[in-house]
Amino acid sequence: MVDVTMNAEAANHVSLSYWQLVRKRFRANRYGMAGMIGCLIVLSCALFSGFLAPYGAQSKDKAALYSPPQTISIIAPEGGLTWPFVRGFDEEMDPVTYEFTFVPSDEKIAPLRLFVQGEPYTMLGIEFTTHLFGGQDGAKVHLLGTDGLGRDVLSRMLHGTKVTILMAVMVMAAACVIGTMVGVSSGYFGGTYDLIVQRGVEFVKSFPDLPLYLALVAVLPRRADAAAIFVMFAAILVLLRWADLARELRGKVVAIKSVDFVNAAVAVGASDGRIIRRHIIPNMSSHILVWATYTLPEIILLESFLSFLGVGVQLPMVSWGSMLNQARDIQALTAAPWLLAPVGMIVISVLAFNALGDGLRDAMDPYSND
Amino acid sequence: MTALTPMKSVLVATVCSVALTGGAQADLLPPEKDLSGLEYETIGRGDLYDYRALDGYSEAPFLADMVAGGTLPPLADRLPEEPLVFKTGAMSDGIGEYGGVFRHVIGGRPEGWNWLAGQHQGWGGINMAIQECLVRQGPRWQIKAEDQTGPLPNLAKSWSWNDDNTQLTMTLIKGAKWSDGDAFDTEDIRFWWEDNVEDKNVAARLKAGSLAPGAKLEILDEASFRFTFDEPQSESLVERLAYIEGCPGPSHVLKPLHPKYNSEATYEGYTQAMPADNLPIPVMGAWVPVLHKADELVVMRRNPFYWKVDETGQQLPYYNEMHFRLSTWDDRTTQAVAGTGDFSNMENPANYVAALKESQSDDAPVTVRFGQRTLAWRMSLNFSDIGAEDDVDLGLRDLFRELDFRKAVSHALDRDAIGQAVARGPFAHPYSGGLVAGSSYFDSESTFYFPYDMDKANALLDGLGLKDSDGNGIRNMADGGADIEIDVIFNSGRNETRKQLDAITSQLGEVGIRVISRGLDKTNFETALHGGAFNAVLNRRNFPTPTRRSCYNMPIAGNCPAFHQEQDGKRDFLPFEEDLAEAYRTFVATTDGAEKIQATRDIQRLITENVYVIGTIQAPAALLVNRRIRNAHPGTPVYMFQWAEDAIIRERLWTPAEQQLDELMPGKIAEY
Amino acid sequence: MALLLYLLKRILVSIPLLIGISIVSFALVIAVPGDFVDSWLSQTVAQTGLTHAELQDQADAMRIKLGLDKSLAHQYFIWLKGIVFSGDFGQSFVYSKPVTEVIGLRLPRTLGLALVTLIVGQLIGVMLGIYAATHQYKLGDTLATLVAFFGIVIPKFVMSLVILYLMAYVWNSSYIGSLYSPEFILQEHFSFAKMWDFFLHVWPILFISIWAGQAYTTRMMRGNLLDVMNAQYIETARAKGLSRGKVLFRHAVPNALHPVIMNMGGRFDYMVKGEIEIAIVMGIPTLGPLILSSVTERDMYVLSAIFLLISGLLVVGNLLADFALALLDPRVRRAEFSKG
Repeated sequence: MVDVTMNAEAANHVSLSYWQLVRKRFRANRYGMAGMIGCLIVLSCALFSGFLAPYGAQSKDKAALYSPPQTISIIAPEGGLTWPFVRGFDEEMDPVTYEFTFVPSDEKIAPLRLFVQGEPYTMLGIEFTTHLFGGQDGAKVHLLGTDGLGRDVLSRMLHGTKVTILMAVMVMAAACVIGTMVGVSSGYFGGTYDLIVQRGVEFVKSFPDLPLYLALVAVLPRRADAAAIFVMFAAILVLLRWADLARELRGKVVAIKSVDFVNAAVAVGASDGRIIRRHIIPNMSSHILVWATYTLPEIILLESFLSFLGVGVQLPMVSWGSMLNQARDIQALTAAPWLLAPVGMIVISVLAFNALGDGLRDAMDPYSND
Repeated sequence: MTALTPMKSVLVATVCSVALTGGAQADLLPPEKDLSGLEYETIGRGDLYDYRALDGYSEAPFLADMVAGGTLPPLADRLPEEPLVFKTGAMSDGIGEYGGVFRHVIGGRPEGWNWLAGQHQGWGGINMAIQECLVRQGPRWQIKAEDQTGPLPNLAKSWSWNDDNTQLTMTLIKGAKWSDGDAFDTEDIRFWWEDNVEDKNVAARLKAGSLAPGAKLEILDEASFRFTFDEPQSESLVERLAYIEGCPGPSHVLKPLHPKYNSEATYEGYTQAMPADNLPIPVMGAWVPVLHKADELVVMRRNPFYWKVDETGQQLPYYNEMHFRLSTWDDRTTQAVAGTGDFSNMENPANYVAALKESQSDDAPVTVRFGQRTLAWRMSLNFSDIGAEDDVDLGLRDLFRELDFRKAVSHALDRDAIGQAVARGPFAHPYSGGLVAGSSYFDSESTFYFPYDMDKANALLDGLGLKDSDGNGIRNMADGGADIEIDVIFNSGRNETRKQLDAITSQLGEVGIRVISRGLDKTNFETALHGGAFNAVLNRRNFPTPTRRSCYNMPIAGNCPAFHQEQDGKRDFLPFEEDLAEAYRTFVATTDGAEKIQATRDIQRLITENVYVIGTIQAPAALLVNRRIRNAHPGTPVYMFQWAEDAIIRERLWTPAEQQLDELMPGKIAEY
Repeated sequence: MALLLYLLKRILVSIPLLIGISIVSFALVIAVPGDFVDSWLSQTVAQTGLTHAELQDQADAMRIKLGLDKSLAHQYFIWLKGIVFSGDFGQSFVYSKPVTEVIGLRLPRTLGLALVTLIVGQLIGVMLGIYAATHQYKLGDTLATLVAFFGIVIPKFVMSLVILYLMAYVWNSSYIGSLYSPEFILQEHFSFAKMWDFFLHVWPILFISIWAGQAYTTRMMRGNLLDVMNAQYIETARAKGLSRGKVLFRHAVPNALHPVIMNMGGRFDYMVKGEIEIAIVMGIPTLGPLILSSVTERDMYVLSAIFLLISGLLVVGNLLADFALALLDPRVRRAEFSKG
């Protein structure tokens, strides 16, 4: 959007600061805005999980084990439109293969209701019982099916958002900060410092992770606090993740530190800190962003593996990663593929975060044409 | 008092019996639905095979060609005087045709071929294929209860005791030869006993002095020998001479490498005398290993000197070649389903439905045969103080020793839900400890069970004074102590155990007990379990007969069971544990059938009534056998007296000519 | 001369790194309860029905023979001594063979697979990245982004299980769980039929690894290319009249390739570890499953040797990548070799 009014008016035009420019450009970028909205949705899932989820994370529906997702229909069995409802299932067992098939039954219609009373949950220390939606008269609604113990997959996914997002963002942010600091300083200052730091990076990267995890399991105290374990393994994840970023940034820094504008800054007498802050890091930003969106799902999946080994998220906490462990055998995959729903959630979150990042990157790009 | 009507008298009797049991209010385990859907008959001991000379014999066609060409001695010279003859009546598909390949997949790797020195060849059927032993256990599953007097003959074709049971005289088959033509006789037995078992420097499977105190071997002639014992023994002792303890090795090859006969040899060198890459080796088994490609394949070819035949005189085995693909145990099941492997146990219930579905289609390569329910899982609470790290642990152990606590936990478990969580379908059945439902020794009248009843569970826990004093939803120890949190260890590689623990955690949470699930990797887990340093453990322990896996289930020695071991030589028995150990001793010592049965019943009652372990579920194991295999007898259990590889009698298996697979080394036999 | 000095410095500094890694591997294995003899014991008890008590003497003797009764430091120094003075990396407890043989058997195929994955994956990643960047915000970009993301987001064990299920249960494929069909196992010499057989067995590993491996490169390439395409020298080149294609491939891409190459150096350890999940699920004998089995069975020397190998590969890989970068990018050359 080029302003082509006359100079006089142009002179009266308030010039925007860099960040104001960024904000303006960002708002114009539909992709980035979509991403931001997506991230906000995910965030609200985390904050308001108690309200949004029809059930608690551990509530069991004994009558529905490994039952498939229920589709919402608005066409009544007799024909004609009606208030949205779901159908309950009739279970049939094949006498030869013992396979269970679930047939939606017209006898078990459960209309959906908004703002139903359900299990109590706490938010900000206050107890509530209203849920966004649920079945009429307490009928069970499982929009994404149930797992082996009859727990609602949708509810668990929503409740798991808190733990997963919190941990993933924490770990990524920490790894990002450490990786950037180490990588940039190593590349910028060079010399023996660089030599040694890079060996440290290599040490971290080739660290025997599998034995480490097993050793962790072994040294865990018997009745360790769930929160303490959570923090500890988040720390481990950080410690193993920053090295990749450090090495890549170092390479980039080495490349640009002899570039003109940096030399100019040096010539002018800018301090190292200022050069790093104002010149080097902004040029790293797109790389860091890509790394961040890539690392986010990696952390979540690594958390899944660690929970599987026993050093990850423990009951009563639930996370997307620990939900995925239920799908680790062929029976689960073929008979109950909806257990993989958290993958969908991961995809949405990562795409949203990525769109946000792309939008930011475009907005912050000093060379883009507008 | 008026005369009681029949109805009332039944009522009175019931009330009285309940009163007599001290209000134990213990239900009996409900009857299970058998999935194997099989009707098969049990047979008499002599119906499987016997030893006699037949009028004429025949051999595999390519062997006959070799005899004609002069490169192999004639069949009559290769067979013993009275070979072992398998009876056709006991073969489910009758007399077989020669030819073809049998393909195993195993997860182990051959250590070396010197089994006398304790080396294994990879497990999964390969050990058993080459090690023929004095007596045999596997096929006993098919024998009627009245005939279950002891093991079946094998290399030892008969044996007898003297009057006071202090001498056991055994007779070997006469005239049999090793696969390289060397004679099999009592010299091999002597070498096995004196220079391996009794020689403390050799890590033989049968340890010196473990057969019976003061056991001595005396060679009588080239086919018979005698054991002499200090004290009277029973037929159960003969069971120790089966696989893997009583398997003689080729003395003609090993003597020159044994330090006693060769001053330059060392024991270290002796153990490594037959390294895994050095083939072929002489065996008494049906196939001889001729090729070993590390991490990939072991190929075995027919043994031309094998000493077993079928009733028409055909020398066994029917298969010319046997493969052992060196992979992983999980892969064994996958390959069986895909049809690239011929045999597998299936012990993870989660895969049953998928395998069943797969086997239904007409061109499916595999059949799925369920056996009885012999897989059983249980949670064991530690009754000793071993490994207790603090007062909380000590408090927990005291709590575990309370019968009411164990009953409460049992009442809190919804075993149907646990079973469904592991595998959807009718596979799982509640288990309350003791012998499994599929065991031939199982007696439902003696199996008590504390079913799912939250009210009872809560009442019992309240009765123990365990209230939730700090209002966090978890009960506290008496006197307002710490929260009751039980850390349960399990093998993290076992997914079905993990699923059960998830369910248990959820269910016990509802009665106010917090379970902390701690998965340990296999070695860590086994070490912790064996050391007895844990609070609670959830694992799978089969209990098919009183003499199998006894150390896992009964306090018969200082370190049995794992959840109640001696500490510094001392152990505080729970009231019934002494009786349990006594019942076991009775079972082993007696030869009277009725006494044995009563002892079994006592064992079952004591374990289940006192909730010695908190059983969760029991499930059947299944055998996956390739469709083209014949004579794989329906009903063969995965593990009863021995693993299925032994029970299925592989030398009797065959494939019709049109379905036979191509051999990798047609026409070859081992060349020494 | 500066180059050689640099090389020497790198190597010298890498030695403590390698030693450090080997110490850590050793220490971690010993830190976990249970040693190889315990693993052997539980296996033997389960298979034979003998009890722990009956096997105790044998177990004790085995411990002494394998040196497992000595302290960590003692065992480590014996091992180190063996490596330095005789090139002997110890014995594998599980296989009763020298460690070099056990690893040596699996290494070529693992490296081969990894190399193919690396090259093909990076190529695909670069192409997809270029495509996405040149079609920014259009359908092409979205599709490429999705393909890239699904590579990262879908857990590898899920992908492996799905393929395994299809191969075993649906297709009844006979190419499962090993590297070769039996007839080729016996064949010693190379032939195209044998290579094709190998491919039929390992294609799932390649497929999943490549899909997962290209993801980062695609995203990185796209991001960097977008950065570069907005740079002034690109505008200049366009202004000069160069075609889009020439601008793209002669000026933009080489600059954007920078971090990709940097990253490739770090991929060397992935070569060895990377497909561990897939290989375990599919039962294919590469180094990945060996890592897992040596950890669970406490086959110490094999494990330490593998991690030594990994860090060695990493060092070499990073060195190569740094040199490649210096070759490609004159700015790097100046920076690396003029300053100290």
